[in-house]
Parts: sequence; structure tokens; C-alpha cells
Amino acid sequence: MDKKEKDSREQIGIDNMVKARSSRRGFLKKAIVGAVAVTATAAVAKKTGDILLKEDPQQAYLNDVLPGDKVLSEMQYIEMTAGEKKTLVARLVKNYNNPEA
Amino acid sequence: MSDINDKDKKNQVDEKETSRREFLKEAAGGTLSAATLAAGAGALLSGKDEAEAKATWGEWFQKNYRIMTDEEKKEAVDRLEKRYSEEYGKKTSVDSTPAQEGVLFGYALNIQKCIGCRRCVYACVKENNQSRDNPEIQWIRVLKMEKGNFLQENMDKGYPDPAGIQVGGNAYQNAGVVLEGEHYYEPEQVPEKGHFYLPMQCMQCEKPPCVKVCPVRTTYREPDGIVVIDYNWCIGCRMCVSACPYWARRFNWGEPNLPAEEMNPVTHYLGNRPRMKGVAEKCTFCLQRTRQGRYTACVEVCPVGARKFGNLLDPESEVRKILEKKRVFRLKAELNTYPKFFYFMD
Repeated sequence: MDKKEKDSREQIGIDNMVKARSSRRGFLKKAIVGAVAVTATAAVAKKTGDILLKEDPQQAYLNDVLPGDKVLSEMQYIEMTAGEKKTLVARLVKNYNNPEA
Repeated sequence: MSDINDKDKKNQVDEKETSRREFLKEAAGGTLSAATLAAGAGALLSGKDEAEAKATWGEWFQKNYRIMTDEEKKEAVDRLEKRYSEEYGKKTSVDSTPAQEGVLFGYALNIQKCIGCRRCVYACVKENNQSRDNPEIQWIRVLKMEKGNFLQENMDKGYPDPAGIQVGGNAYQNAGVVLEGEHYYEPEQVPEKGHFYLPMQCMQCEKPPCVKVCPVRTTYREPDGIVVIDYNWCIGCRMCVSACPYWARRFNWGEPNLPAEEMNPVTHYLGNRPRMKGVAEKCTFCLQRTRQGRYTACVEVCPVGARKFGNLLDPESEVRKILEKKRVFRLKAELNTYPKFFYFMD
């Protein structure tokens, strides 16, 4: 096989590859492979997320609520004075009539 | 001869290629047309009722309730009514009554009268369509606390230096004992000896920290003082849950479990309509009732009349009378949140 023939064969091979890549079949193949890859990745990510984030809703609810019980029951309850009550009511009425205040 | 054959072959291949291309082109065009046709026909044929009953599209793309026009509010309400009616198998109404003019709601609770029966908790769950099981969500909780023997004159006793800071009781005696997590107490009968009860719920603050932190402005204070949530706009960031100093907000960690037969079909858009997973919720002073001139469910059910509710702007209202005449305290008043939920003693 002389050099010229070898080059020509190589060129044909390259052309075929380029053709395969840019051909409809190549495009469809890529599209299908891409779609499968995206779907698979999304499925794996969802599954992983579900496993990692899986939490008992009741326990999560209690985790939200119970710390509050402790803090609130330890508080100091201070009776309002007559003046404080009067000021508060006046303020509420004033704010209602003038919400921008 | 050979040349002619080759040419024929090439033409055949060309024809074949052309026809395949055309076929694909036609197929793609056809598919697109069919899809468009199907979508259009679907929208037309299925009618608005079914499409809107599913509500997905409409709900996802609706505006924040606060900036909706009256027409948009009506559309949203209609859509929800259809969806809930279909989902729960009963005629469900979603009210959108706005705050009444000249009303600022306030709440007062007689801590001496409360017997800790928790009827208020269960009435609230029932009225406000809270998740029944896993998670069991309750907007009201009643803390069981031990009575102490606190006397003001004993404040400084037991300390060598009376200048020390003292919060109730003294070195030998507690003013109240913390019973952690005791809002799930289940005694044979109430009230239990040596205990008192502290019911808690949303304080409907005048300056609500939960509203300040909401990044999407889904929670806001209504003119009648009720802090509400547009569940459809809530992004579930839990900022409000963290910001509330009263631990009054609840978060739907899981899909709420509301059996159809137990669902209260009289709802309000900003109140007791069924919620979804990933949104915050809390007491709304039963605005589906109170905006219609009724009492809240907890006030109605309280067997000892410990709960009082009324208009703070009306000097003749029960709650204003309590503020004038009774010994009143608020929770965490030092935070300047101005809670409109008052505790009182005779």
C-alpha cells in the first residue's frame, strides 16, 4: 500500500466519522443518550435527596414546638400597671386610625 | 453501461434520502400540530371546570393575594372551591371577606379560670382543618405548670445580699417548675392538684417579627390586626417560624393528613382552608368566623369561660373592660411586639 492510498483511506475514515457525527442518526443517537443521561441523573438526585431529607414529620413538628415550651414556661410574667394599660389602648387606637404612624 | 447503473443507483439513494427527510419533516410537523391541536382541543373540550378544578396551573401562577384585583381574588377563590369540593367530596366554600372597618381584634384569657381541659385545642384543630396525624398539628398548646408558693415578701429571703437579681421564688423555693414538653399531658381529670395551665397561641402582634422577616411578603398584618398567610405564596423558608418569639407558627413538614369526613367545608382563603406540604400556618383568630361576627371556636368551646374576645377599638367590648379592670400581663412584652393576646387574673 503506497502512501497516497493510505492517506486517501484515512481521509475516508475521517469523513465517515464526521458524517456519522453530523448525520441524522448521529444526532438522534446523541439526543437519546443525552435524554437518558439527564433522566437517570435526575432520578438518582431525587432518590438521594429523598433519602437524605427523609424525616419523620411528627418528630420534626415536635422539634419545632417543644423547645418553645421550656423557654415560655421559664419566663417572668410582669403585671401591667394601670398607666401601661391605658397607654397601650391609646396607642392601639391611634395606630389603627393612623397606620403610617 | 456501468456508469448509467451507478447514476441510477445514486438517484435511487437520493430519492430514498429525500423521502426520509421529508418523512421526518412531515412527522415532526405532524406531531407538533397534533400536540398543539390536542392541547387546544383539551383546553376547549375539557372546559374550564375540570381544568380549574385541578388548579395546578392557576395556583402556580397566581399573584400574591394582597395585590390581586377583586376579579383575580374571585378567580382564585372559585378555583379553590372547585378543587376542595372535588378533593374532599363535599361542597366547600372559600370565603374572602376582608377586614371590617373599625375593628381591631383582641383576646384575653383568664389564667385563673383555665382548667387545662384542652377542649380549645381540639375545637381549633377541628375548625381550622389542621393535620390530624403524622404530623398532628395544633395551633393552640396548653402548658401544664406546677404552682409555686411565690410571695413577694419572700423575694429576697434566702440570699445573703438582698440586692441580687431574683425572678420569682427564692433560693429554696421555686415560683414555678418547668415541666418540659408537658403540653401533651393526659391526666384522668383536670385541673390537677398543684398545677395551673398556660394556653398559648399566636399573639397577633401589632409589630409582628414574623411579618418583618418574610422574604416574599406572604405573611402580613390585616387592618383588623390579624396576621395572615397566603399559603400559595409561602416558599417554606421557615424564617417566620424562627422569628416568632412565641413559637406560635407551625410548619407542614409532611403532606397534611386531613380526612375528608373531618374536613370543615366553611373556610377562608387566608384562614382555615386546607394547607399543603412545605408551608407555615398558625392561629388566625378564626377569621372565617370572626369576620362574620362570630366568636372563635376556642372561645365558644371553653367550658369555664376563660377566653374572651372582642374589638379593642370599642370601649364597651369585653376585652377593653378586662384591660381596664383586671390584672393583666402579656408574654414577652419587653420585645415590643405589642401582642394583642392578654392574660388576666380576677
